[in-house]
Amino acid sequence: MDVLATAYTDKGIKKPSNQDSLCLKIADTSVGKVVLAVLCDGMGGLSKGEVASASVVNAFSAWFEEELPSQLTTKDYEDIQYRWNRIVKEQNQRIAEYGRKENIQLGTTWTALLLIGSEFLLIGHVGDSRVYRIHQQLEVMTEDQTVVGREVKRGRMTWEQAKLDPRRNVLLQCIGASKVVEPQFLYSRPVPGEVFMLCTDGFRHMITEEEIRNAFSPSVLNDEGTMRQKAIELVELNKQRQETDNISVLLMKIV
Amino acid sequence: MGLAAIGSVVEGKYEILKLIGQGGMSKVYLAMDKRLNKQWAVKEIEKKARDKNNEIIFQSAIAEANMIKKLDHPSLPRIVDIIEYEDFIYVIMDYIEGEPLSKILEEYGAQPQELVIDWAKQICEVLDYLHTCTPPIIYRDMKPANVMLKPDGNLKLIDFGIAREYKEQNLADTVSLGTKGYAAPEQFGGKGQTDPRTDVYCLGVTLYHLVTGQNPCEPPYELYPIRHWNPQLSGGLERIIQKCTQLNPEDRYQSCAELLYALHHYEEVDDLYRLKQKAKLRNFGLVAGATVLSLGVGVLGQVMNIQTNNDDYTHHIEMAEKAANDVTKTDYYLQAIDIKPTVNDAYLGLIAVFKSDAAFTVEEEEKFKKKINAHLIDFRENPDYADLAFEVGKAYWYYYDYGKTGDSDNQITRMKSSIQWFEDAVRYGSEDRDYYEMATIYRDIGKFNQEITLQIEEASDKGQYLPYWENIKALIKLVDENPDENEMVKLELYKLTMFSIETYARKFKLDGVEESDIRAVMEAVKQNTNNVDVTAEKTEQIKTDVINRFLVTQKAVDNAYRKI
Repeated sequence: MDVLATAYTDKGIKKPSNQDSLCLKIADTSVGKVVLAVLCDGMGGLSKGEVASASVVNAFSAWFEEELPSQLTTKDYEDIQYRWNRIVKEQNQRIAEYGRKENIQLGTTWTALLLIGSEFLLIGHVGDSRVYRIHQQLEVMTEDQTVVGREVKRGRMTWEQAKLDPRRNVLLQCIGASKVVEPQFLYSRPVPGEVFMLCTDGFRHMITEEEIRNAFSPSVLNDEGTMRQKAIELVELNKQRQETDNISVLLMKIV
Repeated sequence: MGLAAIGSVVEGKYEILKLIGQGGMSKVYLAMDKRLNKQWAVKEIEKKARDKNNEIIFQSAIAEANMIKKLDHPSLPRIVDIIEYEDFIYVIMDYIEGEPLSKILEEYGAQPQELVIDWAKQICEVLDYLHTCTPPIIYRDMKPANVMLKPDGNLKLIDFGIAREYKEQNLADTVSLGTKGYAAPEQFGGKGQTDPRTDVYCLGVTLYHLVTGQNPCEPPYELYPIRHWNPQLSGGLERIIQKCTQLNPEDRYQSCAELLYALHHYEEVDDLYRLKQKAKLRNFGLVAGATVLSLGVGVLGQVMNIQTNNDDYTHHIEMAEKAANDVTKTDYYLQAIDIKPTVNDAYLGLIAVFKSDAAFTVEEEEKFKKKINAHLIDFRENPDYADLAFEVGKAYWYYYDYGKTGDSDNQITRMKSSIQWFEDAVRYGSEDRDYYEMATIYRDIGKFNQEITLQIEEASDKGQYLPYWENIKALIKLVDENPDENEMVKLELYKLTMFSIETYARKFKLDGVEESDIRAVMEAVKQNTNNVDVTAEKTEQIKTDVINRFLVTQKAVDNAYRKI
C-alpha cells in the first residue's frame, strides 16, 4: 500500500496573517506507510492565533517523531488515542496559560488523521475544520462543533439558515479557550482508492460539495502533482468568490 | 510600562502606588492624590496601541472618556480627569473598593435569588441611565467580571467604554464560546447591530450565572431554564431570564426599564403566585356560599363537630372517587388530606388524578407539595409512607411535564425530580416490599443521569457505565415481567434505553459491556416497542419517537464496536 499526499495553505484575500498551521508527515515502517496529517485553525486577538495553532501542530509533530515509533512496535492503538487526548488537554492548559500571561485570548481548532499502513485510521477532532472521505460519494466524517452545527443536528435549524446565522463562526470548544476540551475520536480501516481531505472552514464556505467531489474524486487524483494542482485550483476558486478567511487543505489518497 | 512607573507621580498630583489591572492595550493603577490624600484609579492607554482590527484606539478612547466624564450615576465610577501626554493618555477615575461578582461566583457559587434580583434591579437602573443618554450608550460587555460589589452592598459597573479590549467581532473571525458566553447573538458576525436589547441579553445571561452558578463559558454552552439546575428557584425569575435571553432581539424586553418593571413584579408571574391568586378567588366564592349555609347549621354544627374525623375522611375520599371531573376530584382529595395529612389514601388518589391526563403539571405539583411538605417529617414515621413515595417518584419519572415542549423532551428533568422520592421509598421502605428493588434501580438510574455530565467533565466517569447498564437491563426485566404494566411506563423505559445506548455506546464498550449484550437488548427493545399497543396520542408519539431512533442507535453501536 502506498499513500499520495499533498498540502496547501493560503493567507486569503483579507487577513493580514495566516493563522492556520498544518503538518504532513510520512514514514516508511515495517507495517507499511505511516502518515500523520494535522490541521489547526488558530484564532485570537492581535494576530496571535498562529501561536496557538503552531503550538498544537508542533506538539503532534514531536509526538510522531518521539513516541509513535515505540507505540507502533506494541501496536497498542488505544494507547495512541489516549496520548492524543493527553496532548490536547496539555495544549489547552498551556495555551490558556500563555493567554493569561499575555493578556490575550487565543485558541485553535485541531483536526488530525493518522494512517498506519492499511490497518488503521484514527481521526481526532476539535472545532469546525473537517475530514472528508471521498470515494463514490463525499462523506463528512467529523462533526462541526459549532453553535449552529448543534442546532442543525437537533433539527432546530437547516444548513441554509445556519449559513446566514450571525453565530456561524462560534465554536462550542477549541484548544486554548475552553475550560474543558472533549475531542471527537473516530476509527476506521483505510480502503485502497479512497481519498481523505482535511480542510479548515475557510476552504468550504464558498464552494459546493459537488465542486469538491469533482476536483478530488479518486479517479482524478492519480499523482501528487495533480493533487497539488487541484488543491490550488479550489483555493483560488474560494478567493475568487471572496472568501475572507485563511484557506488550508490537506489531501491523501490510498493507492 | 509607560510613564507611570510605580512610585512616579502623574501631573505632580497622582502618585502611582501599584498595578491593579491590565489589558492588552491599557493598564490600571491605584494612585494616591497627594494633596487630597484620596485614592484614585488611573487608566493608562498607549496612544500607539491598536485594537484587533488594527485601528488606532486613542482618538476614540479620548472621545469616549470625554463623553463618560459627563455621566453622573451612583453605579458608575466617575471620571475626574483626563491627562494627555505625548505617548500616553491617563484617565483618572474613582477607585472602587470591593470584589467583582465573578470572583464571588468563583468562591461561593450560586447566589441567593433575592440578592440576585436586588442586584439585577441596580444594574437595570444604571443600564437604563446609559441607554437614555443622548446619544445612547450601549454597554455591550455586561458580565459578572465587570460588576463590582462594594463593601456597602451596592454595585458599580466598571470598565465601560474606554479602550475596551474586545470590540465588535470581525466577520470572518472564528471565536469560541469558552470566552464569549455572555455575548448576544447579534454581537457575533461583525454586523455590530447592537442596541439596548443587547445589554438586556447580556444581563439575562449574567443573572443566569449568578443565580444558578452555571458559567455560560463552560459546557453545556447553552442556557437551560434556571429551575433545571435548582427547582427551588422562582418560576417568575425563570421567565424573566428566558425572555432576556431570546435569540431574536424583538422577543426580549425592549428596554431595561421594561425589564426593571418585570423584576419588581417577578412574583406575580410566579406559578405559585398565580395559584395563590386563583385560590383567593375560589375561597371567596366558597366563603360567600358558606355564610348562607352556616346560618342554618350553626346550632347543629356544635354537636356534629364532636364526631370523629374518620367518617369525614372516608366520605371525602368516596366523594372524590365518585366525582365526574378532575377538578372536583382534586378538591375532595385536598380536603381529605387536610383532615388526615399523614395518611396515604388521599395522596394516592390525588396522584392518580394528576396522572390521568398523562401530564403531571407544575401547578399540580405545587398543590401536592404544599400539602405534603408541611407534614413530611411526621409522615415519614408512618410505615406506609414509602409506598406513597414510590408512587410519587413514578409520577415524576413518567409524567412530570415541567420544561416539556413539542420538540424537546424533559427526560433528564423528570428523572432528577424523582430521585428524592425513590430515595425515600428505599430509605423508609423495607426490603420485603415488592417495589423495593425497582425503587433502588430508579433511584440509581436517576442519579447516574444527574451526575454523569459533571463526571464526564471531571473525567471521573469511567466505571459508572457498567452498573448503569446493568440497572437498565434489570428495570427492563422487572417491567417486562409485569403483565399489567402500562404502555407509558414501557415506552418511556424503551426510550431511555435507546437514548442511553445512542449516547453512551462508546462508554459502555470502554466499561466492558459486551457488544452481543447491547445488541440483544436493542433487539428485544425493538421488538417490544413494536408490540406495545398504544391507546393515547401521547404514547403513540413516544412510540414513533422510539422507532425513529432505532437506526441512529444501531449506527452508534456499529461505530462504537467497529473492528479495527
